Amino acid sequence: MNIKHILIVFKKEMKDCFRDKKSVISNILLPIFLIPIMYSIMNMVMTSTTKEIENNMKIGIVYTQNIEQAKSFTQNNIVATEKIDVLTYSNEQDATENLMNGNINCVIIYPQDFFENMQNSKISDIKLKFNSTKNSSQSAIQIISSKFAILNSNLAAGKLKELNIPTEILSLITIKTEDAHIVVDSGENKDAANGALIMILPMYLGIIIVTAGMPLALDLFAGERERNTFEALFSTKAKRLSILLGKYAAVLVFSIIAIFTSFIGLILGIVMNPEMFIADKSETLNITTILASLNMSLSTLILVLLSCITLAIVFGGIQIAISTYAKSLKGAQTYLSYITILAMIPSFASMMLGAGDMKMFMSFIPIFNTVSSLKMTLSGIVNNNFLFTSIAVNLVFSAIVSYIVIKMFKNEKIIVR
Amino acid sequence: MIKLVNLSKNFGSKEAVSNLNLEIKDGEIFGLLGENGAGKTTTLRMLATMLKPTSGNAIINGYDSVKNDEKVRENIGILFGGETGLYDRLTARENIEYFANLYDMEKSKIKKTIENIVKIFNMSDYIDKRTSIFSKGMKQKTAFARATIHNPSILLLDEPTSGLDITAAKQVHDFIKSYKHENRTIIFSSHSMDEIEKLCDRIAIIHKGKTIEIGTLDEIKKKYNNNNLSDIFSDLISKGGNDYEY
Repeated sequence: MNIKHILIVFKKEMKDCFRDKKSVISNILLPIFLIPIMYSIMNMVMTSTTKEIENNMKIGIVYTQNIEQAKSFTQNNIVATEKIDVLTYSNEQDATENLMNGNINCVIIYPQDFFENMQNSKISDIKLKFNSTKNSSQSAIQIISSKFAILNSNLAAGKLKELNIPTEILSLITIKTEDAHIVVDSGENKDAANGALIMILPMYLGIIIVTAGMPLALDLFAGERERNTFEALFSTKAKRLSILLGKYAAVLVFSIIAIFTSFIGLILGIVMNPEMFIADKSETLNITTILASLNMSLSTLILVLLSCITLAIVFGGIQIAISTYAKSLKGAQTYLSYITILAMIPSFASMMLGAGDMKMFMSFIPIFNTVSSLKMTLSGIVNNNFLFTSIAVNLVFSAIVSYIVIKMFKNEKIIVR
Repeated sequence: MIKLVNLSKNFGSKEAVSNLNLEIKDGEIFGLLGENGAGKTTTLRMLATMLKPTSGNAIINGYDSVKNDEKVRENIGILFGGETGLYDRLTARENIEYFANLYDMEKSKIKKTIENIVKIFNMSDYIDKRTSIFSKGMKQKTAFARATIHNPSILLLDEPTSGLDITAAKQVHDFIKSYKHENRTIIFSSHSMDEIEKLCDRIAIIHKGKTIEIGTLDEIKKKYNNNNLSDIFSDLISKGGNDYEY
């Protein structure tokens, strides 16, 4: 091994890589722009769908007796806005047909003795019908149900007033929930930003770490074989180990740059579309709150970074091994696509668990351990044992993968084909 | 000087090269003639230290190809295949410099050598252009420059004109001749009789990994009483050849 040769190979590969416009655009520049654009489009579509439902909602009512009375009651007491059209039907079948055809978003079916029951303070069973295959119908049923709930509580309150009973008895128990794990001195913003980040960031970074080095690993090994440049390279004074390490370092640096730019893209996407990530409109979500939520201790930050870097080393090595073993660039691409799918499974699996649900044995599962470490840390749970074990496990895997790659690179049956 | 002593290479149960014995003198152009799969490339790869012999030795300028592989690589330059791969996104100069750096050449020497190469090969118009836009001839010149930047005394060429057009092939021939004039050794593998006759001082005909004939062109033609090398080659191959005793 010769450090000078490693650096020569590394510098050449980085120069070569950054001149590949396709690779730089798709792996480094595109994530910065594409992720915010993608979120903005999603946000735009979601907002316009919601607005369209709010402004063009049509509901049908079915009442077998005085339909005009039912319409007027619905308009004044349920809908209470001119934006929602109320259409009348004489029977349930007609209304259902129109609902299925998309002419109306939901149907309210009043029982025969509805108004008499109302007057006598008796219970009435109202039937609401919707079409579960249409989002607009699902939204409409939620709106109408909540309006009925308000009406119900107003009617009950009115009745209690008539009987001189305080309306407070309607809510004898009030519930206030509090998350015990949130550290008070970190401020309210921490929770707001974390909600968005905990959900997406760990899984997203896990996938990026696993896949980011792929284009360069393909080019530097399978590509080198396809260009017939390996033989010339091996005839120089540089030892194979130096050549391998120079290339390995280039794949890692490229991965880290791609991870960094993807991270920037994600943060920009969240900042540009805060309404997609926070349920409570009173909360704020901007670059300051996001950075504040990342305000972990330096030692924790270093441990999390180490976990990410060691995972990148493992997957950089796996990509190099596959790219070296494959007889052609196309073959390498096929093998790597299978590995990527396999590697994505633990990333997605971590989404199913809360940050507090992580068990110690999970730190022994590569990818899952790094993604879980990120999730826990962003949630304010600092578990040094979990972090240290994750790094140690990743290091062991890095050593195994590196050993295999070095063996492969020295194996003339694999290299000289 | 190159000396091969009982050089053999097996791939599993397949014997790719079997007990090859050769001695090639300084300043000689030595041709390896054989069909595809005869063992020419395997032999050259063993000389270039890319493959380790199963048995026997290859001694290049006094260095053993296994024990002193780094020293051997300092002494040789290789060009395998007609359109030898270059890095398309690098310029011709960067391609050459990359290899010069890996041969531990000093910067000032690299600069001077490249200037010299540019003059010899008439590359001044495109030395700083990316090789992706090069013609085959321009690529070939760059590949030769890259293979010889460290001034090796031995050049291993494996079918260097394969896939090249007439003009580019002629450039290769001219280069080989010019290299010989500097008293350097060239081992040249080909299955083109024309090329072999035009360039080589001596040849070895290889079949199924074994040397079946060795000598100067005149010696071989005289031995078989035939002026046509192609006919001699075909006859030897069809008979399966007798192992040449060195």
